[in-house]
Order: sequence, then C-alpha cells, then structure tokens
Amino acid sequence: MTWERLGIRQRDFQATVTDHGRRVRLSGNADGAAVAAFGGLVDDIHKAHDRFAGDAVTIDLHELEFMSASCFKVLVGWIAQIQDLEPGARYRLCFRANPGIAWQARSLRTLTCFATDLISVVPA
Amino acid sequence: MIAHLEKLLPKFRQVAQDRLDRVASAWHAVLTRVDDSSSALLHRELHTLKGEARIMGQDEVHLVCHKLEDLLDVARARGYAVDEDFDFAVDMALRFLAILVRKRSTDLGGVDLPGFLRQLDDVIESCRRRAPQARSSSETQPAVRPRLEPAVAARLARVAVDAFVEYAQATGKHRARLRDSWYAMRDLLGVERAVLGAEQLGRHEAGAHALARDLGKAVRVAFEIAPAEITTDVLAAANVAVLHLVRNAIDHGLEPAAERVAAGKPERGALRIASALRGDALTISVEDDGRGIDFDRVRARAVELGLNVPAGAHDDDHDGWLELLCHPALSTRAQPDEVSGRGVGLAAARAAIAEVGGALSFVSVWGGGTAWRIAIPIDPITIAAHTLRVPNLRFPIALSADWRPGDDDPARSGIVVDVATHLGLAPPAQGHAIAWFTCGAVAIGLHVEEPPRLAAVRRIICAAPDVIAIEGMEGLLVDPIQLLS
Repeated sequence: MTWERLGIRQRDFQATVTDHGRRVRLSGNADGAAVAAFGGLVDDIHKAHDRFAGDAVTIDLHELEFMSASCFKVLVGWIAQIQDLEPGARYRLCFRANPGIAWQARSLRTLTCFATDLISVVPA
Repeated sequence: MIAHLEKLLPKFRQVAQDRLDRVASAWHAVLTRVDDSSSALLHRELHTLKGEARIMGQDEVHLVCHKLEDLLDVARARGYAVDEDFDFAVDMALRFLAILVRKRSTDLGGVDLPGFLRQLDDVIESCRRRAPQARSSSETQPAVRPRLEPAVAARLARVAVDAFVEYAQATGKHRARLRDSWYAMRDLLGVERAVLGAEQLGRHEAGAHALARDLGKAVRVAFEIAPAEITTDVLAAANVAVLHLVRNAIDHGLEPAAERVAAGKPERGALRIASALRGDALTISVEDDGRGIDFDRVRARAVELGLNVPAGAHDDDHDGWLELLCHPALSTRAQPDEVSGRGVGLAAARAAIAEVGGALSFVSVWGGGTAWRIAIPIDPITIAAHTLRVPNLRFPIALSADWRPGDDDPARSGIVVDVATHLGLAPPAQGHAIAWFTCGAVAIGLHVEEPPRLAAVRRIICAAPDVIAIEGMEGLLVDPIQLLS
C-alpha cells in the first residue's frame, strides 16, 4: 500500500498519512463534506492493523480547526474497531492536540473515557 | 451472575443495541422536526433499557442510562433546544452505552465510567444554568443571553451575517480569529429552536391541580396541543403567559364546587389548554367553564380608581376591557391573597406575549366561562430549500423551495448571477454550469459547481440573507430577487 496516496485533499479539509500509516495529520475543517473521505481513510488504516499491533498511530490535530460531530463519530467507530481486536493485536491512538482550540480539549477528554488504555492526548 | 441470566446476556445485548438504535433515531427526530411521538419513544426506550440492564445486572449500562435520562429530561424541558455540545454529549453517551453493551466481560478495561459520568453532569449543569425557564412574576432571574431591543437585534443581525461570511470565506491564520467573532455573534443573536408540545404545556397541569386543591376546588385539565417549532424566546413567553392564565382561571374563574352545582354545572371545573400553528401565528388558548368576568364589578372598581372605563358594560370592546384588567392597580379582590388579587398576573401574561410580538385577547360570558387567546407571529425556523455549492464560495448557499428548479436551456432568457461576485468576494467564475430557478414570471440562473439538492435548512441568523445550517454546515439562504437587484 502506498500510504501517502491515502491522503485527503478537499477544499476545506486535508489529511496526510506518513510513516507507513503511523502518523496522520489533519488540517482545516472536517465538516459534513469530509465524513465519507475521513471514514474511508480510517478504514484503510485500520485494515493494516497487524502492522501497528502494540504500537501507536499518531493523529496530529494541531491544524484542525473544526471537526463536525459526524467526523468525530468516525473516531469513536475507530476505537470500537480497535477494541474488537484481540488484546494482543490492538494498537493505540495518540492524539496531538492544539491547546488553543477549545473543542479539541473537550471532545478528546470525552473520547479518552471510551478507552483510557488505547487513547492518549498530548499537546502538539 | 445467576446462571439463567448469563444465558440471556446475548439476547440482552441484541435487544439493547436495537433500543439504542431507536433512541438515536428518535433523538435525531426530535432535533430536526416537530414530533411528540419521537419524544415519547426516546424516553420510553431509554427507560426500558435502563430497567432491563438493572434486571440483567448490567450496572454500568444502568448507570449511564440513568444519567442519559437526566440529560434528556433537561433537553425535553427546553423543548429540545440544545446546542452542539449537548447534542455531542447525547451522541457520545449513546456510543458509550453501545460499547458497554458489547463488552463480554465484567472487566471494563480502559473504560473510564466515573470520568464519563462526570462529563455528562457538567453538560447537564451547564445547560441548566443557561435554560430559559418559565418565570413567574416573582422569579425574574435574567437569562444568560441579554434581551436586545428588536431594532438593535436587527442591526446586529446584519453585522452577524457579515461576520459569518468573512469567517467562512477566510483562509489562513486569521480564520480562527474571525471564527471567534462569528461564534460570539451567533451566541448573542442566533435563533434558539424549541418545540412547543404536550410535554412543554403539560407541565402546567400539576400546578393547576395543586392550586385548585389549595383553594378547595377541583379541576379537570384537558390539552389539545398541536406541536409547533418555535424559538426559546417564544416558548418562555408562552409558558409565562399560560402559567398566569391558568392561575387566573382557577382562582378567579372557577367557582367552588357548591356554587357550581347550584348553577347546574359539574362539580369539577374544566380547564382546556389548546395550541396550534395557524398560518404564520402560534395560537394558544386557555379556557375555563367558570363564572366568567364580572364586568360590572370590574367597572365599579375602575371607577373607584379613576380609570377610563369602556362605554358599554357588556359590549364587544374587549381591548378596552383588557386594558383595564391588566391595569396594575386593578383587582376586584378587596384583599390580595397568596395566589392573586394584586393585578399582576394578567399584566405579566400580556407583557410576556407582547415582548415576542404577540397579542392577548379574550371572550368571557358571565356564568359561562372565559376563553383567553394568545396569538404570536412565528417565522418558520426550518424550511425546505434548494442547496447549492457555487464557485469561489467556501460555504453552501440555499434558495427557498418557492423557487422551482428549471431546465438548463442555454437559450433561456434571464439573468445569470455569480453569487461570489455578487457578494464582492471573487471575480466572475468561468466555465461553470448554470442552474435555473423560476418563481412566477421571474427566472434566475446561478453558476454552480454541482446540481441543486432539496434539503431542510434551519435558520441561525435572520437578516436577509439568513445564515442557515444545512446538515451541520453553515451557509447562506439567499433571496434571488436581491441577487437580481
């Protein structure tokens, strides 16, 4: 798989995938128009979960200004997919958040409650 | 766990997930349309799931259901006028429940249940602090959002539209600053949706019975409510008015049982509260079968106080009588009591209605009862519209569904408009398709990036053009006539 090709380039939302799928950088506005593409990207990354077992995928949100509830649901779904894996096959999600963007702190705090063992949030 | 319950767990998981799906659908329904049955379904399904979880020993599911019920009760009390954070919390709670339901062991692993419940508590607390409540005359705590004079609000609304356009069109680092400005304007002026339904007006029933009991009377309260989508301002005003009209009817209108029987009426008084959306107005009526208004007594009291009295005692000059009845000094009671008699209730009801542009009227028949009628003009919040993406605009636009999409005949006569250029945001676009719309004899063509789509849009700022929400995205509802001008 060519990871770089998984990126998303929309008018208001971009996602770049590097480090063989271990690093995802989101920027712009992930509104309703981004849901399908973002969901597809997450599915593609998760399909390669055997590469990440015991490791972490970093999602850099530093330049993500807005994420709609629908896109956020994609993240929740991602966690559920990881939880469905056998314990040894699971991987972690590390969110690099922008402390200056209020919604990120609030939403990621909620998201962490879903799986404290799988999610970490660090300032970008 | 008891062995037979353990055998039932797979079935519980399946049923629970089905219930969660129905709760999620009903939640979406109450947020997007006026639908009392979805509200009932929402609460019923969640309550049932909570009970089933308790029986099955799924204590964590039970706990989260209980907290979610609290959350939904707050939403219902507000007529489902909730913000994005609240919606997000409900959605996350449903997903949290789904994860708990699917868990096959009692070990919660990395799930932070106490942390999640605390966050739901924070949302409930925050919403309760902001909730617009029906206020009695003695409970006049101000709403968090300041009430602006209509003329000031109208001027600011146009500024808000500009703030939205600047933010939505911006790129780069200053977009965040513009977004803050837009959000501040939206918080100050944005339309807050509410639903007036049986659940909102039904809250007055318990108060009516309690008051009747205190006064040694008995009342039967009937509701005929056609749910209507309104704003929180109108909901709050309607609740204040109904509160006072109900108290007035029970205290002044309904006779004690013995007096009713002597007059050939049923021992128990009847109170009927009805509401409907008629054309562009919300009407609410509060009717009783009591003794009616004693105009002679009102007139005598008014003369005593030196007030202007309508010429005829029983003529149809109800406006004149209403003026008298709402006069702060006028009460036919010799002594005010705990309930009424200070001449405040009707005035408060009328003032609340007037604040939202409405009017109060009545018809009263001596011996037969009084019917109060509230009429409040309503601008629809959710409307059908054609949604479009046009060149050089980073946000969607919409046209009222009154405009009919036409064919793509290039020979059609009519003006073609580039919306971004019209708004002064970009030079004319080249090489884009044109979508035609007609309304009566007027035709307009718009450069578009994709074909128009019919969707329900919700007004956020009313200022022509309105800022609207289209499936979670914000955009502009444009008036083609203004584009042609």
